[in-house]
Amino acid sequence: MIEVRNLTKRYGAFIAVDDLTFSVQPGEVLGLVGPNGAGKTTTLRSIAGIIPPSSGGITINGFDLATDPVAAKRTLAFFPDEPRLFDYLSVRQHLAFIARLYGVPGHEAKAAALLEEFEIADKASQLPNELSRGMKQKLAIACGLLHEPSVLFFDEPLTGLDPLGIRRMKNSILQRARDGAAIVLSSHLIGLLEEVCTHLLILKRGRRVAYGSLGEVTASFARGEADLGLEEVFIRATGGSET
Amino acid sequence: MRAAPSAPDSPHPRSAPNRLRTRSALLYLGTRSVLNLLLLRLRRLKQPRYLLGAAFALGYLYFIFILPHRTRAAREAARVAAGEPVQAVRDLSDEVTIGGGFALLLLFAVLWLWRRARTTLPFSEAEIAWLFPAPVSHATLKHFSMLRSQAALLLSAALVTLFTAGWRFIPSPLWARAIGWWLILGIVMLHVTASGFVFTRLAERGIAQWQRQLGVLALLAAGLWAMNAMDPHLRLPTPAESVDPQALLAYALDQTGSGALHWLLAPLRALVQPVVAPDLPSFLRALAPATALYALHYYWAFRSERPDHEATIANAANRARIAAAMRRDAFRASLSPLKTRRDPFTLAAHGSPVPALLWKNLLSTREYLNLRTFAVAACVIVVWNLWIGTPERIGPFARIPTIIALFVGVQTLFMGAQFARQDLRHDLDNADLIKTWPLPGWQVVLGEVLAPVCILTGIAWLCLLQVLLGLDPPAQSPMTPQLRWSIGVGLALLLPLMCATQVLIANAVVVLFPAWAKTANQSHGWETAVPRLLFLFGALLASVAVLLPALIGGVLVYVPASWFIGYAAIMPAALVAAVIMAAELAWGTDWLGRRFEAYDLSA
Repeated sequence: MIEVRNLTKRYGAFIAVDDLTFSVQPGEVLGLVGPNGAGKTTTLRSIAGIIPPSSGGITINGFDLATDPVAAKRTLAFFPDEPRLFDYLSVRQHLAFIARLYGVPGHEAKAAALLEEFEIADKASQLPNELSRGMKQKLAIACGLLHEPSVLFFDEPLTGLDPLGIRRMKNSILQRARDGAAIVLSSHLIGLLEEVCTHLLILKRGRRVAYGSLGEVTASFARGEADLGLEEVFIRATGGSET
Repeated sequence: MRAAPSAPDSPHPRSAPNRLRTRSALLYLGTRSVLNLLLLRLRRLKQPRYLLGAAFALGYLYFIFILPHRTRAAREAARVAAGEPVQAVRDLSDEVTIGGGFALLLLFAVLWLWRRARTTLPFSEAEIAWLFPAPVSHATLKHFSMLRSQAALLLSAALVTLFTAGWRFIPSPLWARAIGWWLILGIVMLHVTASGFVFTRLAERGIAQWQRQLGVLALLAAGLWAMNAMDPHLRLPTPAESVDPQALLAYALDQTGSGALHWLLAPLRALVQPVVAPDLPSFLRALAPATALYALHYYWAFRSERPDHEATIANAANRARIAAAMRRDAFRASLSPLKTRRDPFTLAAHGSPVPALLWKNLLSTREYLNLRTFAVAACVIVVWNLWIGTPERIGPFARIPTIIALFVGVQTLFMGAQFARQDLRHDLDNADLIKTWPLPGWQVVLGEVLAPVCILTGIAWLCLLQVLLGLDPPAQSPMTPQLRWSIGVGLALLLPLMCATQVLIANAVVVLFPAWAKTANQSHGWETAVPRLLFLFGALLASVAVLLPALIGGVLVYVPASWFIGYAAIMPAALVAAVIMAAELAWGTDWLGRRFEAYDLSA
């Protein structure tokens, strides 16, 4: 589970994230949305332990990210929009390396299952530069899932995937949520959010403008209208402009 | 806006108005790109670090290459004015011409032997996207690419001129050298391009590289045989001439002064002549044949090229990949093709994550940098020094490996960390990923620095072994075998820690000054000279600070211990120094680890 309390991130006088509070329970998928420059990526990177917040607290599965980062990070996985891989490590070597970092018992079987799931088993001895963009993305996801994290952060997870890959990725996110993972997902794809998210956090200029379950957020902007789409909710919540 | 495809009523690509229009567009593209690049560099000077860098670079060029030249000239002018004799500098124009011609001959021979096939004219990815579908004839594109490459050599020629400005043994003025160097560089580039096209065509006809190499070797051998048969003057240098530089020079002048070699080198000597021309008339006389050769090469390259869009696109993508890799300091990754390599050692799934980082970074090194290579090298050094390369067998040449080992060893200790970079410097782009790993900072730092430390230590140990075995002190020297080996063991203990100090300091720079480190990594312009020099200076100071307590500790142990056990006291002294250094490094790793944990990637 993820608990974020009064998270603020400043760059000099500029406030990228302003006093943000939210939580994600096991089994929930929180969609992080907002216009460009709203602070989504900064929020995601802060709660993944990549950048230190200026103030506020973040707890991952009961471990404070500031005071006990190693224990907190042991249970989380972060998936950036661009897959980050090591040029010199083959697919198999990536998984072996990650297994050692996280101390994954019986990693060979788990790695094999993940490679099968993402259909890259036949690429096990290939280097990243021999893989397509989508395959790199799949490898990065396989590496992230190897230690069976209970907290997952996705930044634009569908970038570069083919339609089948998109379907698999959505199913994979939903399956992990059903298995009890707490998931935060940042994306501009309203369709994806509608399909997989249970909750929504809409940001604008670093501030929270809407937060709650999909139904709650939709209702708060519906003004009595029935069947209001998420796209319309987003436009109403953000005022239809970036600033 | 993207150029529209030719409309049915638009002029034919080869029509004069269309040619003129496209050429003016390409000229605009070329000149505007250069101007914008210059403007960009000038605008960057608004930032203090770039301004400082530019000032430093200009100062460096002035004080190293221009000031000594001017000072010497002024001093000589003053002597002449005072009626004092001025020592004349010997004119070596002939030697330079022959040497230059010979160097070009060797270069071209190597080129024909080793150059790989599938050469294309260089185009960027943007040029392919915009120019290839545009109504521009292929001939125009060829001229554009070739002329742009030639124009780019102007800067190289200017730099070579600057570096050779102090060559007083050739009487040519600087302007003649600049034009001469540009001609030489241009012809070399055109030769590389044109021969590449020839190789490509040979490959297309099914002639493999080894077959071509065999053919070239056969031609060379036949040429040498013919020259030898026809020219009785031709001979190899005698052993006496081989070891005496003056005699060797006289031999070379004699051999190339007349006969077959003279005629063989004639066109190549003609290329070098403008560089040594002492005045305008002789320069113009030398320019005519050199320009003719240049024009012939240009024509050869132009005519040899056959459109191969697929290879051009592949090469453009490759160049873009290399540029991107250089920007993120992963140049080796850019050298195609990368191959999967064997695990450097078996990585178990359990245990400390530190070896996993070492394992990962060792995978990014050359495959031959492994334990077996170092063991074989050590065996070779031992066998060479004990049985083959002894002074009794090869006389004064026995010292050469030791001198080289000493030089390489010192370089490894002081500069090695600048070259072995398989650590945080290499992983700077992956810092966000690393920060998500469940590792305390000290483990990240320790794991990251281990690979370069291991490699540098291996090289330093090999150098030490060579120096210890190859050292040949006079009989009366106090350097007894016991003292030599005591020093050796002491140094062997300290070398890994000294290497670790260098690498740790280099990594500290990345964590403490990430913006500057990124600038130094990603930009290869002269304005990065200051950050790099400051890093080196800072690293030197930090190394002294680390070494000083260890040195003091070692001396404090050595002085009293040597009263009792003599030179053998070196070993306990080295041990104490090593313990002090290890403690300092442990503290430094922990401190840097905490800094890495607090390192704000977004700042």
